[in-house]
Amino acid sequence: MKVQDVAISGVGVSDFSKNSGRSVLALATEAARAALEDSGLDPGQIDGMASFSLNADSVSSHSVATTIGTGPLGYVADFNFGGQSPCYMVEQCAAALQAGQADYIVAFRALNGRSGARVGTGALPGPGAQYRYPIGYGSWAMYMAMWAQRYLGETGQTSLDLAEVAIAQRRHAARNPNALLHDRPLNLDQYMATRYVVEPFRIPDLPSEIDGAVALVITTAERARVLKPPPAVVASTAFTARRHPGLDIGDYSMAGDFSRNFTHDLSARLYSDADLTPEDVDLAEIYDCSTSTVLVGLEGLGFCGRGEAGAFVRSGATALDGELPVNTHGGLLSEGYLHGMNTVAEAVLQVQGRAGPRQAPRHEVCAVTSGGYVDGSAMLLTVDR
Amino acid sequence: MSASAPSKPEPDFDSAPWWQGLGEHRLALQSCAACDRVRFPRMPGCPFCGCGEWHEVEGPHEGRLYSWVVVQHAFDPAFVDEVPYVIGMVEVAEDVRIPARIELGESEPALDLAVRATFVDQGEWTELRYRLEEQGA
Repeated sequence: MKVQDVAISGVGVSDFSKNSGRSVLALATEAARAALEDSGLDPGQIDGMASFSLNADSVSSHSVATTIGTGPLGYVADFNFGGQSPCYMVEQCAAALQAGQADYIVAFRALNGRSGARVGTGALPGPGAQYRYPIGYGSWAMYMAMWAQRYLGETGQTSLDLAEVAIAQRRHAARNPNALLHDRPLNLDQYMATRYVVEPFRIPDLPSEIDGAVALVITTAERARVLKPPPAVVASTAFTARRHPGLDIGDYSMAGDFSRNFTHDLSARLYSDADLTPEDVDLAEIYDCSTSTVLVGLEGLGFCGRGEAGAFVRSGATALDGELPVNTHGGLLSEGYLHGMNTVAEAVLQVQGRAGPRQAPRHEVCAVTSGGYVDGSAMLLTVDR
Repeated sequence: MSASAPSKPEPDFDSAPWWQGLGEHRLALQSCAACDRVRFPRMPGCPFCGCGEWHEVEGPHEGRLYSWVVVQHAFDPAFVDEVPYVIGMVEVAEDVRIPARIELGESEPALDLAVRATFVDQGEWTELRYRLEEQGA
């Protein structure tokens, strides 16, 4: 979608932990308040709310609007979706802002994804579930592994290429105090010594489930310019779901080519709607519910050729001083599985130049993705120019 | 103490013929009345053309291993004594794939290997598995 004059302003992040000891509503409230404070807005100015949840693992927009004391709402959206959501949610908020349904929207994701309803290992019910669970095929990690195996086999890559992603992102996490694996450096020997969960994935190939919340303030670019942080301008957004996307989120059996994902399907539209090309992108925050989704995303978004993603990461290109820093917060793998909302938050902070010790030197254009396989969303953020 | 039993399939209006078919060692697929394409899982409309009418057909027992994983960690405690085991996506027609346990025998799994259906009695239901065809056979 071509986006006109919409920007992300404030970012609010709760503590990330394995056991928050708090309600999901309390986490959401903390993050939303922090986002308002970051922008310098009063709660009464908020007239739109958006969130997403999977299998009722979170709280509603109405509930957080209540606990932070917003004004009357002109726009509310609670998406029943998984990790495809964050960029899509921004897209929908942008459409609402362009249509004049609201002026200031708070969008959040909150969950006790480790201590409560587990975000990565919980059951995924639906009409397709009866074909999976009785045969021992019952976790998101297995479904991503199924796609990864086809991808690695078709492109002639191996688990050594997956390892590069885990290692590179762990290095980023060392610069991020809020990352769950902040103090856990990883080298190839250590990677190879970890046990397999579901081949081709070892433990470091999969995200770290956490409790936490992230909230953003999304508004018009004009309004964002007078708020405290510099605007992260939304240049374009895109969402796509393949034909016959499946009977539930774990039923992907008819969704075509497992060796490419939604990033391949929406890439051309994403760039053309912003009048940008992959060469214009300074850094990328790529949804990583597994190491393989980063490799597939690098190829899908045109940052390297087919089958070259592992070598691209191995070359150091995705390091902070590389040609395209990727997942500078450590990603879902090392910062934590905040379902990709933290991925968007990191992109915003980077574009705003507020990422501290992990700030990428060039940060005028950032690509962001949300989702792992059949469907997903993405956006291009730019500095105000 | 042994692990709890795996969950049983819970057939619904759409899926019941599939489970009944497996009990009779048949793959009860639907073939679209308009475009003739088969589909899986069973569903009340054709994902390829949208037509709501279909014929019952018996699916092939042969397929190819589109992809596979080795489950090393039992996410479901009922499978603690089973790991490691292999789950594959078996392609029986273009873009029509069935998730199933793969029995390796003496062979190693690899993309696109030929597989053949086998039926395992689980007491109250029958599980469809596939075994790798002998290499070079």
